[in-house]
Parts: sequence; C-alpha cells; structure tokens
Amino acid sequence: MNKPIKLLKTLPFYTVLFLFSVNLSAAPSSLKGVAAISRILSERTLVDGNILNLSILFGVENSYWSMLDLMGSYKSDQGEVKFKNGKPNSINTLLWKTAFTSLAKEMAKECNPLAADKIIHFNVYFKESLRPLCKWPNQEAMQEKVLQNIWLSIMAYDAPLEEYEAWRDFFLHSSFAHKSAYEAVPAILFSILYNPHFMLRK
Amino acid sequence: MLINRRGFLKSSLLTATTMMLPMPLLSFAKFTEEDPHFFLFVNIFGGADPSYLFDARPLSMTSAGKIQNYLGEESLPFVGSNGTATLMNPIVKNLASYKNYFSVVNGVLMANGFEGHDQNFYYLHTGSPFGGDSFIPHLSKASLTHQPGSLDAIESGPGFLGFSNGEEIVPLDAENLKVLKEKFKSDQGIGDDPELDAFLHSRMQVNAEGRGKFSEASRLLELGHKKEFELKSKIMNLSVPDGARNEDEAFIRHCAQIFRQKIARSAVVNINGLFDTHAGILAKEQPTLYQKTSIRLEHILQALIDTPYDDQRSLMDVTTFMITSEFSRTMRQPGFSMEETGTDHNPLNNSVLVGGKKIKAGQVIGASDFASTNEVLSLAHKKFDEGFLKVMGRPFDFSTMKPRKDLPQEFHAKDYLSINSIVNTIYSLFDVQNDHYRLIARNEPIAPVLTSLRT
Repeated sequence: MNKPIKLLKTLPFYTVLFLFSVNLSAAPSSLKGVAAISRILSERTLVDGNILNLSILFGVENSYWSMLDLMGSYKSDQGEVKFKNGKPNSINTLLWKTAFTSLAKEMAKECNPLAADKIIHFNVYFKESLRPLCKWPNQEAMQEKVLQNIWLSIMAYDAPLEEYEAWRDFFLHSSFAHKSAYEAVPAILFSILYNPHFMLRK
Repeated sequence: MLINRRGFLKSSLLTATTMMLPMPLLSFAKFTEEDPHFFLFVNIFGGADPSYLFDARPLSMTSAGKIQNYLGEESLPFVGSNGTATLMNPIVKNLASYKNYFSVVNGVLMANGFEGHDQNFYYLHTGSPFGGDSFIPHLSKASLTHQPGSLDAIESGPGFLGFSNGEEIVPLDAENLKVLKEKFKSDQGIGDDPELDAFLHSRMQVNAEGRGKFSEASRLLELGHKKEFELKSKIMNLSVPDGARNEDEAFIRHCAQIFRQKIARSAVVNINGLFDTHAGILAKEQPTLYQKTSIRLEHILQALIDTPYDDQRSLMDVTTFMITSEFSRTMRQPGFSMEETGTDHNPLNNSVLVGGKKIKAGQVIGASDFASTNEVLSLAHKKFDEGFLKVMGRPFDFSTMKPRKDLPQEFHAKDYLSINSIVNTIYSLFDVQNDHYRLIARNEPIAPVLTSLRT
C-alpha cells in the first residue's frame, strides 16, 4: 500500500530529472576547437615535441591570430574558463576549411623531397604512411594497406569503418582516380581532415 | 520584353513568396530594399568616466573635495535642442561641432547591484548581468536582407566572446581581411572542386542523419559548409581600404563595403585604453586618455560623414550609431585627496551618445544627480551610495521625456532611465520582433522606448 504512495511522492522529482536529461541531450555537440585539433594533429603527425600553431596555416607567423578564436577556443568568462564559438557556422567552417586546405598542401609537400618551403616538420610515421600514396595514380598507391595507413595516421580510430570505406571508394572510383599525385594527394588528405568525425566532438 | 523560363520561374516564385508574407513584413521588405539601415556600436572598454565627456561637473565640486578633475579646467555648458542641459568637459569640445549628428543620453542606469566589468558589459548587451544574447545579432536577424553566408557584425579587434549568440560577430577588420584574401588566393583548388565538394557534403549529410548530439553538430556543419562558399566569395570581393587618414577612418571605410555587400548589418569599434582608473597614478593620466578618445570619436564621426554608401548617401545617412561604456565611475575614492584619488565602478549612472539615421540629434535626454556640492540627494540614491561617492541617474518622466525633480524615498526601476530603454529604442528603429524587447527589471513591463530620440 505504501509503495504506490511513495512512488507518487517521488514522481515530480523523476519528472524534473527526466526533463533535465532531455534538455541536456538536446544541446548539440560542437567543433573540437583550436586547442584540441592542434594537439591531435601534433600527436599524430608532427615530430615529437612540436606543437602545431594553426596561425601559420593562415600565413600569420610567430603569434596567435585573433580569428582563431572563432574556430572554437577556451576563454575566461566571469572567472570561469568556457569553450566559445564551438557551434559550427559559416565563418568557423570557412576558417577550418581554409586551415585544412593549407595543412593538406603542406602535408603533400612531403611527396617532393626537394620542396624547400616546408613550414611544418612531420614525423617519420606520417611520412612513411604518405610515401606510397605519392605514387598516385599508380596501382601501388591505391592498395588497401596504403589507403588504410594514411587514413589512420590522421583520423586514427575516431571514425567508423563505413566512413573510411566511403572515403576510399570515392577516391578509387571518381575522377580523382585518374588525376596526378599533385592534384589528388592534397585532396585525399584534405578530405580526411574536413570530415565531421575529425572536426566534431562526440 | 522577352522572358526566359528561368526568369519566369524566378519572378513567379518572388510574387508567390511576397503574397504569402503578412502585411507588416511586406512593408518592411520594401522598406529594407529602398532604405538601407545599419548599426555601428562604439564600445569603450573599462568603464569610461562621463565627467571627462558629456556629463561633467563644475570645478567648484573639485575644490570642495567631491570629484576629481585632473584637467583642472572649468567645464562648458552643452544645451540640448529639447531644453535639457548638461556640462561638457573641454576635452570633448571638438565633438560639439558634430552636435547635429547625435544626442546625449545621461543618467542611464546599468546593472544596479552589480559592480563588475563583465556583469555590466553583459547587462549592456543582453539585459542580464549573467549574459545571454547580445542585442546586436537581433538587429541583423530582423533584416530580410540577412542572407545565407552573412555575419551578424564585424568588429575592430576581438572583444565579443561572451554572448550565447556571438558566434557571428567577427573581427574581420582590414588586417584580418588582408590575411584571409591572401590565403584564399594562394589556396585555391582543393576544396573548390565540385566533385570533391559533393562528396564532402554527402559525408556531412550522412552523419547528420540521427538524433544524437554528433548528428546535430553534423547538421550545423553541413549548413555552415553550404554557406561558407558564399561568405568566401563575398570576402574575396572586398578590397583592403587604403589612403585612410587614420585607423578609424580605415575601419569605417571597410564597414561601408561590408554593409554594401550585405556581409553584416552591424559593426563594432572597440576602443581599448586604461579607462579603469582605480589607481591614482592612472587617474592622473585621464586628460591624455580622453583627449585621445575624443580624437578617435571625431575620426569615427567624420569618417561616417565622409564615406559614401552609394552615389546619393553617406554612411552617416544609413547608419545608426551608439557610443558608450559598460558603466561610469565614482567621483573619487574615500581616504584620498583630490590630487591622489583614483575612481571605482559606478553602475548607477552612464552616458550614451546615440546618433545617425532615424535619431533626432542635438538633444540632451536624461540627467544625473549630484550636480553641485550642496545638492540634496534622494533617499533612493543614499541607499546605494552611503559614502556619497557616486553620481546616480535622476528619476525620468517617460511621458515628457524629461528628468524629474522629485527625490524618491525608495528605488523603483520604473522611475529611471536605463540602458534597457535605449536598446529598446534601437530595436524599434530596426523593427526587431517584440519578444526581444527588454523589461524594466525582472517581472516588470517592457522598458519604455525613448520616443523623443527617434525622428
């Protein structure tokens, strides 16, 4: 007899709890932001101890470019540090696309050992993963192992297998399959970076 | 006139869409098309002291030990066309010749009960000391010309990070524009390939299918991706202004093309300086600081006048502007002489310059108390200022738009002119929807619009 009454008494509490949880789940996820992407890329692709300063991807050297704040960044706000500008919109998407375009081109320079204008020092593992891809559109560059290696060197295991398969199939079956390495390699690298699984928090 | 199939479909769609619009929106659509209207906010960070601007005090009050005045010159009368007068610090007499372009609103209450910079900056922008939506994006969203790929505002230097709707207030000044344009030019290629673009878009779409947070963010990313191309094209069409006589003129010229291209409806000029003069040593530097500020404000006003919007109108003709700080300052600090004192925060009073399009200029609206050494202050004032260190807004009669002479025993927010009334007045000029209008205070009615400020 007591149990239903007790349940009724606690019902408002659970209702509030339920509504609160619904509200929380409604809040969208966000961009990973400048600090996280810089750390991830540094760990996965750069020489140990190097930190990727995204400013250099915009041609701004030796300083923090103010517009990076728009790409998702931590800022002090009334004594608390909060993550700001993480909701994807036209300006931060444009900035990320620009940064990744620039980065993909820098990565692709590793295909040319004589390139003298390299501004980023990539690690051996990344360079080894990239080297066979530089032979694109030779069949050797299109091997499953080659594509898997370059995908994992940037994306790691942040994306499901279907995402990799869709990416692989696009480059094997689109016009990019016949393009030169000069054209295809930056696009292959860019499309790993400019992907929701790489850019967004989960 | 011959019309092709595409032209026919376009005009049919336009007619059908227009017929579906409710009448008020229809008239607004016509209005915005024929009557461009933009907003410029000049933001003085740190808590500027109106006694060095358009709410000065006589030197006799300094002699009596009531208020610091490191300039040491007598203030000048500044009488509004509506009959209300104030005193102007001689430092800003250069701005008096622009009187026909702005009105002075004095005695403006800020976040009463909160003395922090952030709290009052939030209050100025959102109507709450704890933050929320800034009023500036509301002005953009009210425009039917706000297009995909448009931003809410551009600003000179970063300063607007705290608002929940501030993501599209962008420090796209001339310097950053130069960086972006050079980058876009050098990086043309990868992301612009239509086949690759379609693939990237398809992955965003696939990942947006679902109900979780990641899917929701993928949807936003897809939307951002659709708009970024248009935004990039607009940015590429901008030119980096050259030949400007000063940095503010350069920014105003830059604003003109931003407005013309419909990239944003609003712009923000951030004026940073050592305005937060708690230390006496900083307070002594105020004459120099405000001279520089006054020159910058003159540059901004002159640039608005000199910069054409089109072949018939100047930027001043199409822009409403507002110049203010997050709060004012105390007259002095206890325990210090007039020669050594600094000043602290005072949210009981502020001074706002409002001008440009649709503003009836040349007026002085509202007033602050403690205008003379022996003035009897209200009990409402004394309740908030036991040490008699602060100036407070006088009660305000919203029916006559004049300051009241009575001395309230108790404080009631409805008796005073607050920043919420000024923001609501701006809202009314830009036809912002009613649900954004600010309240006098929590659980009170909407703060009255300053009808006399509008043309």
